[in-house]
Amino acid sequence: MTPAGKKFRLMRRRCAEIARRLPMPRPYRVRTLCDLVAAERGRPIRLLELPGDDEMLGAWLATEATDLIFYKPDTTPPHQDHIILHELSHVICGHYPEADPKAQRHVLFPSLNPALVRRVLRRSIYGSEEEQEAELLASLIWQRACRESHPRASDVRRVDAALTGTAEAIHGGVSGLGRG
Amino acid sequence: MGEWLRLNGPAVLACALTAYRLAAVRSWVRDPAGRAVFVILAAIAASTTVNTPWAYDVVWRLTGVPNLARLVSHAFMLALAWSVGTFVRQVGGPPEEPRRRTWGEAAWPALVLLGMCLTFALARTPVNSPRFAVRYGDTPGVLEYWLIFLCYLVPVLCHVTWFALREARQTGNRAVSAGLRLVAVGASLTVLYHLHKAAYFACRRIGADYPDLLRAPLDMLLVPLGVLAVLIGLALPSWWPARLRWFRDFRLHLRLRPLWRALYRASPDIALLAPAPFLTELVTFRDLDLRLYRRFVEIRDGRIALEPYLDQRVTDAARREGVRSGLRGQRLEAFAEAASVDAAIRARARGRPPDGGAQPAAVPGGVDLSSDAAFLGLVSRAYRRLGAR
Repeated sequence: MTPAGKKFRLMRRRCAEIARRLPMPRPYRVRTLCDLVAAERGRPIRLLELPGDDEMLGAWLATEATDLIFYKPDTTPPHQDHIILHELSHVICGHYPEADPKAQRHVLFPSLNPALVRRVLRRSIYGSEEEQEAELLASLIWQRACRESHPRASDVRRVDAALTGTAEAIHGGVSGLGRG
Repeated sequence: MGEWLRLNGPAVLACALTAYRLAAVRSWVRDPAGRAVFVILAAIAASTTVNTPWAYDVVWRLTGVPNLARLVSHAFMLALAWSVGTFVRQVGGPPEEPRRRTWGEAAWPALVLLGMCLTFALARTPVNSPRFAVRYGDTPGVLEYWLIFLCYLVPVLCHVTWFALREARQTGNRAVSAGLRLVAVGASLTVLYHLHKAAYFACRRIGADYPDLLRAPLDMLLVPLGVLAVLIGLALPSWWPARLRWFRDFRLHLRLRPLWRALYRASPDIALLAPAPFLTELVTFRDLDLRLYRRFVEIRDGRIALEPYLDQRVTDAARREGVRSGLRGQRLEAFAEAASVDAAIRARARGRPPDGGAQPAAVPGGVDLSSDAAFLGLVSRAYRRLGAR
């Protein structure tokens, strides 16, 4: 195994553990997941469309009281969901503590009061380890949400649930979004 | 080989399916109907296994009681019928009030089993023989044993046939519908087999002829076909949709490759992991859901990286060409998107964004992941064809 391969495997193991411990909304919605994470952290998370139309995909901006997650609106809804998940993964991992926030804030959101900003992070490419970790965690969170997804109990007939082997998930109170 | 399969195939298949169901125990263990499905499979596995020639011999050698394997096999059949009845009651009743099991429901098959044990003990069948019916068809006690057995089995299986056909018509799940129809076929064949055997024993007892031309094929085919139909019917709803979804995802993952490769070459930064050779992808089956998701995300990221090079005029021209070629709907949009991406990749390679052109106003695609990934699959196919022109 190459050092890079080993490093990636360790990162994956770490991310899988984080994804496993996350509260998973049922049914899965990325916005509901943000609410659950915000409740756990005791800091509200607000989702906002990115101003402007450059190549930036998303950004996380932490103020004293709130985490602001920005996402690119000019893409398809599932891609927007992934961008939000990526930024949320940065929030969960606590990446880039105090990484020159004022300067980045000025570039991204010139109208924002600099006194409010604690940290700024933008999603563009996966050059750094933190970006790779956030991207991997976002993908693993989606994978867990997808694998645990089931239709709502009221939508499934009992004979279907028993024969398809989904009775426990459905009648045990588990439900989800699936691929939607 | 054919004879071996006829004698042992149903048992092997039933054991394999029981093990498969057992592996997913957490998904059904707390549901009474789910447990009943497992007991049905296990009872079929036990009943057919005991009836295989080698197990028939083993039971005799272990107990010293000739033909005991037949009684054990029929006892498992009773358990099977009882489980099927439980399953029907569990899933057929009102959802808010799952019915409680009553003593009467268990007492009836227990009484039948007691009667079978008594007649088995009274009938003189001293030689252990897997060809029991031929050897002892006219022996007093055998017909009585069989009729007592049928008292429980036939009404339950007839009810199952009716129930399965009714549910198959009502369900919106095609795999469940097909599975239930197969269960109905299997139950009907089993009823037919047992009635045929009853008629055979009756003819032997009264000394009448039972045509061999009828007996041989019915003996040979009805049980394996019935068991096979029930087993496939029970396995199909849980097994087939997952396999079908996997194959669809696998095909889509490969279909997205040309578009993803082109975008990766234009912007290598979009990839979380370096691309694997095509042959490696062809034989990598792990984490397909994750790999497909990554491919989707990276294609969407790659398109955004190309945004400065996208040109609405190229999209419009491609759409006109597509209409002339007879394309409509999603395929037309996919063709226009593929041409647009192709032109943007070339423009980027030249390092020259289009002059005076506006970027496409909207991003074409789906509203959820399935539809968006499916749309990108169409784009990728159109892109590959553009390259081939």
